[in-house]
Amino acid sequence: MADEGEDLDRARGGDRAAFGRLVRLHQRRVYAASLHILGNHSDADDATQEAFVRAYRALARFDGRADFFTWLYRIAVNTALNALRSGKRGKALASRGGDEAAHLGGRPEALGEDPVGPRERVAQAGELARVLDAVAQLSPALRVTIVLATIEELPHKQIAEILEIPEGTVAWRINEARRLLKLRLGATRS
Amino acid sequence: MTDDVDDLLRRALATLDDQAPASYFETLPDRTLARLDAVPAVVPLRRARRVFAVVGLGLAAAAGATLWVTTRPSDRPGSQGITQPVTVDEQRAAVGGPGGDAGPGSAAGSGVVAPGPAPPIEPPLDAGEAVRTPPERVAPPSKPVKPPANPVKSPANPVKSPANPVKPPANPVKSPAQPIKPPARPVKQVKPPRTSIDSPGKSIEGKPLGKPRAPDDAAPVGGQGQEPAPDATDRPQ
Repeated sequence: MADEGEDLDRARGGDRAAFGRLVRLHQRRVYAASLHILGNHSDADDATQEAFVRAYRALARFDGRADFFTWLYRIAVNTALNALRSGKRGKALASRGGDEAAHLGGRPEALGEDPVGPRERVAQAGELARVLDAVAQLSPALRVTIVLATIEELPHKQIAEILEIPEGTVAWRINEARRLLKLRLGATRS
Repeated sequence: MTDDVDDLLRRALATLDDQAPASYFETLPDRTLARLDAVPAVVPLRRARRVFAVVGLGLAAAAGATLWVTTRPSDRPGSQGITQPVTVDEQRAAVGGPGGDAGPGSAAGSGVVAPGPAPPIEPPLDAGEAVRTPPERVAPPSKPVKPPANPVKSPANPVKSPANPVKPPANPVKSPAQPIKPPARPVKQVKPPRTSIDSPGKSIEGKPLGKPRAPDDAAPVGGQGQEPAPDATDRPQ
């Protein structure tokens, strides 16, 4: 089985099978980032495919100085961010958050293993729905940054590379996003 | 409190993770590769502009030919092509010689020359307007043009003789290298300016007419004497 570097060289030469292997290698993380930024599967699926298409067409410009995944991840995040900024997407996070949160993990079968009772479950679902709603109210820049830091658990330096902003800006955005989330969740609770 | 927020955020976004169908990641690579073929690559704006500019240059060249035909007579002071016989050298110098204003798409340097001594004809109206040749007359005649049987002889009252227009003279000297040339223009141009093309907005008497009729094969862009080039700002530097 070819390694990533070899597949990269072949994909640059137009070998689509090699590029397909690269997609298979990174698709879960790219999809997860798109999903957490956009908030629903349909938009995340579209953004994921679009990100890979853009990456394939930009392969000739990938000089190999940066890690391929960081480069690919940057394309994916920017694709999702553009979709979010277009205003057509991202609203789904708030509108669907309640429904999705009602599953408490997304898998209905997991509900049977949940030790909490129905009342607690409803309370938790309401809490998570409020969190999703609060996230949806963040600006795209703050939302992407807090997702990359908290959910994807990327270091600030890598986030700075992906978003092409200074590390100080990354730190400020994360703090600002947390502050706004606390503020909104606190206001909701009260 | 920060940990609380982060924990809530993780739990909330984790509720989204299982939205993907079971076989989603099995088919994603194939669907992505299929999308490579389905979605056309976007042509960069700059390249698109370049293509447009090339097309525009083609239009400009085509319009140049028309421009040459329609404005050439007005460039001659006193409309000498009408009032005076035009020699071969004069004609060649006018259409293709050094310093000529033949457009890039014109048939400059053609072998079309003026006929022999043409009958002197006075321009019925302002020479600059009256002698404009309608573009439809530019097409090469399929048969030789007869020499003028009746020279225009009523320069003072050209309106009364529209039924007897000056026929174009024969054009005996043709260049074998460039057979597609308009016939000698001076003879054609003496046709009474009956249409709005000849004298836009005016009748022969100078009375205003209705809206000028656009020539059928007028240049698609630009007007008389205007360069129909595309927007200069779109041209690549």
